Amino acid sequence: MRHRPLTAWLLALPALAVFAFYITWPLIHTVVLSAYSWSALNPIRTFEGFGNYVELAHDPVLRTALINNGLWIVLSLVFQLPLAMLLAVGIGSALRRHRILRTVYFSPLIIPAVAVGLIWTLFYDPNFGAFNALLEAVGLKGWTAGWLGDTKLATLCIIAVSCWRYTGFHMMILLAGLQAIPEDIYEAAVIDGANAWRTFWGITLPLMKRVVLVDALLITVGSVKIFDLIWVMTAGGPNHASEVLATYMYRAAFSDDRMGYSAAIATVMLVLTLIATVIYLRLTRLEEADA
Amino acid sequence: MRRYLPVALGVLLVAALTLLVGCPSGQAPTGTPGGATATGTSAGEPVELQMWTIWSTEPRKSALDDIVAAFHEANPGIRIVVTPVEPDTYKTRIRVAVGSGEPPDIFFVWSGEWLHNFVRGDNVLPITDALDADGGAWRSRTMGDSLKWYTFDDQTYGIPFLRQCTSFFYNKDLFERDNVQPPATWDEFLAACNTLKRPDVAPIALGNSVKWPAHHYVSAFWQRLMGQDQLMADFDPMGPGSYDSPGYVKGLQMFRDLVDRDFFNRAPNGTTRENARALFFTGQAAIFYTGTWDFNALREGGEAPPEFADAWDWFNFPAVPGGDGNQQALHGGADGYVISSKTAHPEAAVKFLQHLNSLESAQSFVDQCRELVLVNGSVTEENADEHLLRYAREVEAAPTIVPWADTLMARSVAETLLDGCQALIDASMTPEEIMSSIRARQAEVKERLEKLGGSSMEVETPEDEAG
Repeated sequence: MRHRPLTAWLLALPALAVFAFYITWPLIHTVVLSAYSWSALNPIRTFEGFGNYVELAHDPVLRTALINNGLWIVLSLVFQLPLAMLLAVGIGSALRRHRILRTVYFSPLIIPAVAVGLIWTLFYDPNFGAFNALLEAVGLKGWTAGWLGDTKLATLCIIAVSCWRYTGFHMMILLAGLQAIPEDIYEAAVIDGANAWRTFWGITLPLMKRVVLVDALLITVGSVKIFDLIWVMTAGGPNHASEVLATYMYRAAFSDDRMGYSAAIATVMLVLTLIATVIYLRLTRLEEADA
Repeated sequence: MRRYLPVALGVLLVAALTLLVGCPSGQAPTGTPGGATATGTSAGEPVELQMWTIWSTEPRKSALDDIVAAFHEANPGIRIVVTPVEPDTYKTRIRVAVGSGEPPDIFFVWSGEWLHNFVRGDNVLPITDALDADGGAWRSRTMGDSLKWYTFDDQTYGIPFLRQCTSFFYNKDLFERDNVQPPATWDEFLAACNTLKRPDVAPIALGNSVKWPAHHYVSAFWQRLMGQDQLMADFDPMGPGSYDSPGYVKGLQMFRDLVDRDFFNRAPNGTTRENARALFFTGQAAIFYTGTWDFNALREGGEAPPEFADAWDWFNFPAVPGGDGNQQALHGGADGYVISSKTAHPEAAVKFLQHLNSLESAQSFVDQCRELVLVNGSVTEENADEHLLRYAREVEAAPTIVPWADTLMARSVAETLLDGCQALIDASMTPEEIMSSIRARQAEVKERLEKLGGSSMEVETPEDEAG
């Protein structure tokens, strides 16, 4: 029943135009392009219809990429979120004394992803790397591995680096949420005789629900789009073992020279991200209805 | 308090998303103009040409800078701005630049199908007329038949500059210690590896994280087993071949055999090429199959310790008994430069390529880099060392130099082979499976090219391939 005056639309127009030109149009264009097949070096396109999607459906590499993206989402959520929460609560309870720690935990994010990837690649090196040297030194020679060169371990190795890099960042987000909880609730809880454990489950977590939800969405979206660390450390190898949607899309376009196929992979990514967003919106709406 | 939370979260969300998404830097940093230039009085704005190269490390970087400086002195009206890019990054970056319609005026290329791909899309300027001018003076400067790999449909696109070949580099001290001679046949090679193998020494160093080093073995096996004619017929997506010859599976098997015998260092797929080289020059591996581009890393003043400078030598890929290919052939490519068809200053660009390809530039490049430049007379007793002189003689005496498979196959087919080689190392695919996925990919490329009405590679095979 609200009325929308013309001026409001006019004021919104520049922003809408930018949004349409830089976001909406490329999205639609990508979907259109996925119906064609062409080379980056040759502008002539041939029409394929749903050909690219039919091929995608039978592509074992796409399956690997989807499984890996799933692994990224699940493992990132399982490791980063609780760890970030632990750090946030710990640091939040004694913020003044531990300001230096906050900086330390956050610092991996300041280092560029490419540098992080290269440093960890050196750690993982099977012949000269720190991990194998360490394992050998403590007598665990049987545990040494090819790490990034091992089909089964490559993805897990990169996810571990990602956790190292991003946990501090998620700690900061949760910390911001923590500080928004009024102090008097805690005081009341203390007077009622609640211990720290009960305070956390009874007060902190319920009041942080929305922040945690946002953070979980960030981790999920980040895991769907993950590219840089993988590209630097394994480029999706060995033989696609650590491939995810983003690296496969890039490879299809610029290594395999199949632009249309790449656009089809991009469309799959778009759909998955949309689904994640819809789920998130549903959850926040439920949350609002609760409140 | 609660009311501000959504707003704060919104701001955080936006900030976080931009952080997470990031933005891959698409454009290459352009070189810094200005600085000390030799040009004194130049009338008007000089013509500026962008040049991309993979010569990103010393001494090649300075050698090119010197050639460019000499060109600036002779041609005050033209400025060459050089952008060096690391080789493995370059492969994709140049495609992005050319594909997005903003190519550099002059850029580095690998010969064969890699270049042909650019030619098919009309991205490269033919320089046939300039080569043939003055009775073909420029053409006759080029060493051997290397221009052949830059010629498609009777038009020549660019100049081959560096001759690169792969060979088995070996540690003379380790060979001497175990009394091993450089092998001439594949059986001798396997026997040598057996002798060289020790708990602290791997017979062969292999760093295959970049995928292409393992394929060099496969490429050489295929040539030895089947010969160049057969390969060219199969590699050409529009050609008559079908990858049906049993030599393909056999070649892959022979490579896998090396893995089964445990001749390589630990986890080749997780080892970088640089670290494989380090295993070689620290004596932890006896043999390293690499190209002449590693000459400088192994020489005195390079990455290797000085005492290693005299401790290495090389031998050609051993003969495979019963193979149909020429058993003395070398394996290599001709790295070079082409001019973009989109350049606004084609004459200036041709002028620079002529200068780059002159005897003076070639000799000064050899002098600084000790690499084989494909200009007649570039390598002399004065500017070359023992290694380079021997290499130049070998290239001259070679019955034929066969390009590596990944430079001759269509891009996506080559990628399938490279992935297959990684899969072969960890035994996640069999040779038969790899060949069937190569055939499938080839069929797909053929279908697309037929829709475009594409031409075949039409690179004629050089000499006879007598066993």
